[in-house]
Amino acid sequence: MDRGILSPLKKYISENHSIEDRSFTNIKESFLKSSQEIIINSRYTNDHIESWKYTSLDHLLGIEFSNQLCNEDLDNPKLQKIKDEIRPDSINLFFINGHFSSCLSSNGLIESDAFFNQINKENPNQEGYGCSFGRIVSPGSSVLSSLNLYLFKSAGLLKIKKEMGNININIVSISNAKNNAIITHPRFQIILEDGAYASITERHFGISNEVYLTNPLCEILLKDKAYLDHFCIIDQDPEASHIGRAEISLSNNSVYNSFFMCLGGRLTRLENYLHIKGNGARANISGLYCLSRDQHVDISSEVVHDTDSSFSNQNIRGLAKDNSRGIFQGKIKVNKHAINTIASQFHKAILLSGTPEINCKPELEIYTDNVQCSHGATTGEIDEDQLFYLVSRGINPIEAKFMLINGFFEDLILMIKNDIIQDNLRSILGSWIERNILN
Amino acid sequence: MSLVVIDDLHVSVDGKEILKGISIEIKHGEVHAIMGPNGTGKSTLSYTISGRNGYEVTKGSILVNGKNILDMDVHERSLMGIFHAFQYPIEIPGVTTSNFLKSTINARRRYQGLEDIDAVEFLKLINEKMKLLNMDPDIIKRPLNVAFSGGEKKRAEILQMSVLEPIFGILDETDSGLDIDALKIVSGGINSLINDTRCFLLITHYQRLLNYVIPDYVHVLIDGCIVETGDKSLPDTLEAEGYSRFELKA
Repeated sequence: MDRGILSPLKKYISENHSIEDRSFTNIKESFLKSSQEIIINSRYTNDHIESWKYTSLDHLLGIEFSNQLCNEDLDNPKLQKIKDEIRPDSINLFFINGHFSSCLSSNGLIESDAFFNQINKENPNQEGYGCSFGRIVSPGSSVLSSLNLYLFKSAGLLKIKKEMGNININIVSISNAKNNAIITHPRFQIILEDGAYASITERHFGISNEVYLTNPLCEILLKDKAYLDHFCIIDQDPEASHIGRAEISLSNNSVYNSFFMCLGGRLTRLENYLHIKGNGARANISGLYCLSRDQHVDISSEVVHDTDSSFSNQNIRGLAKDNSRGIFQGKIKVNKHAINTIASQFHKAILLSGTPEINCKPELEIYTDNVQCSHGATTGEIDEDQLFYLVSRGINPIEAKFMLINGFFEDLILMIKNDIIQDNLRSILGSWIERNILN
Repeated sequence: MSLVVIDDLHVSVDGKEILKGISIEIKHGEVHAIMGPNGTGKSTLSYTISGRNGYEVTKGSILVNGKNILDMDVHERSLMGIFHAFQYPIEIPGVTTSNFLKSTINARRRYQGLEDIDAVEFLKLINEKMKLLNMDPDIIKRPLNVAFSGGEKKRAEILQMSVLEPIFGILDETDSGLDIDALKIVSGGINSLINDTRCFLLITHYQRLLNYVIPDYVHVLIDGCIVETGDKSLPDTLEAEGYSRFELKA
């Protein structure tokens, strides 16, 4: 029996795959073949194996997964709560189990083909859409993109033009398993045309408290001078697993700022692959994770610099308690022509009570001279001096801890320029800390 | 009865005895100073009073307002009116000075059975106190003590003390790192708090703070023992003669 990365999903994959099924995607056959090598034939490269060193899907062994259907469940209270939280003046796109839900989503702009399209069997991919799967995400580049490419049933495509001004978009991806374990493969392709400017918030969560696995893929292309603020909040149900990937391609002088927050779920693996292909492009990736119980979060990011004078910074913070495990694998690759690159990555984690574990693996691959690259990582307990200082001012120890933990993340949140999003993230984080640290 | 009674206090750190039987009584309205060379136990005394872990009291007692504080948790000591101005105030990234001050004030108010402070009242109080200390009003928007200059940190300690209005203030080398103008301002802040409801213990190496905050008594601490107690003129003698004669005594 093969014990490859995806072997716990072998039965599901064999029941759900077929190349003919992929005709609606208009994906090149060669692309599908390279995914097939991984998904069906378990041909993992050494890079794949190394990148899955700390994370296994073995907890899914023996679970009978079925394919996803669109269960909209409009009266679900959790769904209603999210709908209420989302700004009405944004463009809101809802996806249930990977399928676009028109009744939950906003009207208006999304009715315009020029902005939003969905690809599925009923709406096959056409040349005119400008969608070319495999153009941003290199086929076979990762296990998760291959899994998604091979099995997704529906994709949402967004094309944002400069003339639209600064737009706010919410992409809400909901998993709703009803009485049986499901796997979903949401897929989003976002293209920002030359000079376009947008803020996109992805939210991933479940509404059924059942076992499910979600494998979202977000591919983003920033054309010349485009600017994107990208937020991603992952707060899955306690027994859920989230294995998602974002691949981002940056053209000349484009700017990509991202912030992710991982809170829920039994297992979360979040891969960020950033390919800087344009001169003068800038990318900031920051994010945080908070873990309790036996949660497992694996943040794996790779930033590839291919061109002159580009900049990237990764700043990740984590908090782990009980029997949880947090992993940060951060790679910076500076290729031959990427002179004058400035790239850095930092990871800081706090361990609280119990036997939590943090693994951090920084990697720098530099193939040219005249670059500035740095990395740093710290893991420790709450600073005793800081705690004593606050408590010596009459603040009780629990509240003092709460202040220090919030403060630990506040530096990152303050980097976000949008006050409304800052407050939203603070409120989500604050309620997690109250539930898990104070009680 | 004295407001603070420290009686035969013995304190060990990591199994090593640092304070070897200290007794001091401080009455309402009094200012006492402790002077002494480096490494004689001055900061150990301040941390023991404020309740830091690792400072083990092996003998003796500390009564504040008639209560044995050694049985109290750190925050309870603060709430009952003890304030320790740190020699090296701790930087707290991500927590604004304003939020911190509000939390400390509200902790005190809740302990006293009062409602949390109103936002307008809070700003009025802080602005008023900051003005007395000649502080930049924007400092409260910054993370607590982060990237503060040495002088700003010490002023921020006095600011905290003035809003918390303790009954017993311990100032651990508050004068270090201050230029002469800042020293005058900080001293003014301390002097404005001296009255018959509270008392102070100043820990210092140098005479200069005591030129501005006049002590009622000065104790010389050498090797964990108080070797001499005098009045406000003692620092002049120390300044002239140094500590060597006491070291021989100890």
